[in-house]
Amino acid sequence: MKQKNKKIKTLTQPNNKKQKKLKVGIFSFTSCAGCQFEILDLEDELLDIFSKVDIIHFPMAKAKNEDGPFDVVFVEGAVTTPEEVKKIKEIRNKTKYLAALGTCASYGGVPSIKDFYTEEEIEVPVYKTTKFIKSIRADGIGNYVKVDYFLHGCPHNKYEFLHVMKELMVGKSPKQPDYPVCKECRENKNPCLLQQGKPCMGPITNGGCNSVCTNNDIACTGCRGPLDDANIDPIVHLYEKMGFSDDDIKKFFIGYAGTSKLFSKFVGQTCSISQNIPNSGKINQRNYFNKNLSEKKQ
Amino acid sequence: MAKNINKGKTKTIKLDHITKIEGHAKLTIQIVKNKLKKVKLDVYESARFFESLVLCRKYDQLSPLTSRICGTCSPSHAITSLLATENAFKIKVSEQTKTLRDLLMYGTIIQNHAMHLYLLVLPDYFGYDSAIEMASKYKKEVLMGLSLKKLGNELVTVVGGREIHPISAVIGGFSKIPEQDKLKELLVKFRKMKKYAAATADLFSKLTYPKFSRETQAFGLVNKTHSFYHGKINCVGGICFAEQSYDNIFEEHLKKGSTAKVVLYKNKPFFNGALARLLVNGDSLSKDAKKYLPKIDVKNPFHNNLAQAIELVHSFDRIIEILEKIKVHDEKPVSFDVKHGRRNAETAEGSARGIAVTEAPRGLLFHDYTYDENGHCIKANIITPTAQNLKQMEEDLKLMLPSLLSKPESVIKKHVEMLIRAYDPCFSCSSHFLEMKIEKR
Repeated sequence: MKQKNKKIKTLTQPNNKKQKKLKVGIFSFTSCAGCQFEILDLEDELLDIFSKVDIIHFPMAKAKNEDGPFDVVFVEGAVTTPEEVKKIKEIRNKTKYLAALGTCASYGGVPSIKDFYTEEEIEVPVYKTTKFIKSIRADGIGNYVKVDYFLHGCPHNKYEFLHVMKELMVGKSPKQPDYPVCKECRENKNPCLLQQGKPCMGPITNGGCNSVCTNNDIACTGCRGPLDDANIDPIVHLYEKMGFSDDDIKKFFIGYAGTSKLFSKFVGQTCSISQNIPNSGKINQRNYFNKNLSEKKQ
Repeated sequence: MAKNINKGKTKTIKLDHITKIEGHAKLTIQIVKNKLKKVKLDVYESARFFESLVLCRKYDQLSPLTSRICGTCSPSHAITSLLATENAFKIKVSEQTKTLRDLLMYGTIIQNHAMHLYLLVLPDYFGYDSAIEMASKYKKEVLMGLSLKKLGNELVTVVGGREIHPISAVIGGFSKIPEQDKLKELLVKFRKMKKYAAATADLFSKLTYPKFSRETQAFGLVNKTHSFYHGKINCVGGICFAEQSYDNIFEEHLKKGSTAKVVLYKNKPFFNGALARLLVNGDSLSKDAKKYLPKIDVKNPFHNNLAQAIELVHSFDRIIEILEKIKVHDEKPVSFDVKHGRRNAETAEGSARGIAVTEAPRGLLFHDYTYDENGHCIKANIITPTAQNLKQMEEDLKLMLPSLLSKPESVIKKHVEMLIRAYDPCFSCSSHFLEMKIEKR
């Protein structure tokens, strides 16, 4: 489950001057590595912040990497293989504060689109067979372990990362934003895209991105996942009124955070490729969505 | 990290996680009686099935989704995807759109090359674990790299709306035209920072690269301005062909016992990327960039790093040239009809196919889509540069390793990593490859 943790763990911080540097790890699972780059894109603050903590694990930027224990770990990417399931559990066991970095780690992100199709539909077009791939459903790390903070977004907002890091360094617990994209969008004085007939997901999506897409006149695609109290039905009706087909609307919801409780409930478990694509083969019942349920939360 | 298991005279060197590259890869080298027996490069980046994920989706969702293939070169994927879709529907974009996209591509080259050179490569040559450690003694260099990268990010943000996964580039044009004032500000910055780009090329032309030489084939786009956005595909031997025929020229192989899709030309490996581009299209470089050409040894893959530094100088010159001339005006993306492309005689009735190729920072990037009559994608094929380079990397390793076998394992390991890193591989991109085996010769 990806509910936000109401009880957030505070790191013990000695208040004397000989305060030890936080031991930080940055791990990467199935992803585009963009969320790690988003951290490296903090050019002005990078050296400063990295000198105030001990980055002991960051294979993309360092040759020598330690295996923990960690005070803080940021995990990028979705869990899509049995090895990654094992790894995330190991990481959790030696980490005080675990944060999901970006939408893949929070909800499974783009890789989780496959969860709504069968293995055959997904694997055959790319690899001609399903024999060699040992891929399980793609999911956020929250499906397997307890997560202390979710940095939503595809990619996440680097200033939110900076904020989280700073709060942790002074022993505070960072607070998740709990407002929709619309809040920032209105503050940025953008015209409402829904009123222009564009399928914007702003009202139901977690804010904190400074409404970067709608600032550019592009409808929100819900990459930061649904708000806890999002009301899906009215917005679906709105999309229907705009003339989008049932199938197209479902695909809006399975772009980035389809595995979230709210979105997956709406989409249902399947949304077939086979019916639209000629010669895509028999539909097999081995659905990703139900694959490896035994690997669920401890 | 590196493990050494001695079993009699058989020695296995394992690099369980090759660091400082994008994505996840590992390499196994087997040595029997001091002879190289096996080199195995495993890409254990999990499959993400992008070509399936885009199926049944409407045309306007493909570019944002395929942008997510790679975090470093996301503008390249986004633009190539747009081009493929536009080719399918026979959409002609305005000159302004072309210029802005050209800028976006130069921007991503600066983002990528600056980061790769300063944060991932330079620590190797200066003997540090990471750029963060290197900053203790070489703070000036690290800051220079970061400021170059930042400028690339700024350009991509101004033109594309965000530094990673750009937003405003859409089918037919731009959803929001960048402000003229912001472009003017950028011009000032690029002029001011040009000296850093030149300093980068100076720095990388003075590094001592490992000695290594090999003959092989190279591919790159040819055009008059060393643009990364358009051009004809050309190889060293001089064959020149348009993107539409890529699938007849490059062979995608599915290997038995492996899920790797290997891309070959005439059954032989080839390379692409910065070094290949200089080789096939070096004449098109700017005057300042051309000065460094004599320092390049095209047979040495380690020189890909120097080639990237030279492209950095060229990109600065071109961006300054474009920004000096540009006068943006407001325009809406071109409207189009999804039925238009159906006249394409090559494809089945009712469907429209579009192919596009660009130069991503690491080399040629192909997107190939087929749409049904309602504009839903029914077939997709994407070939990334790392997919094309991987076989060449293996071949290079096989050639380089025998001379290193007498050296301590740490030296072997370092050289191997440096060679792989020199290609600037992106294993998130090439997630077609789950396993790669070199057969014994």
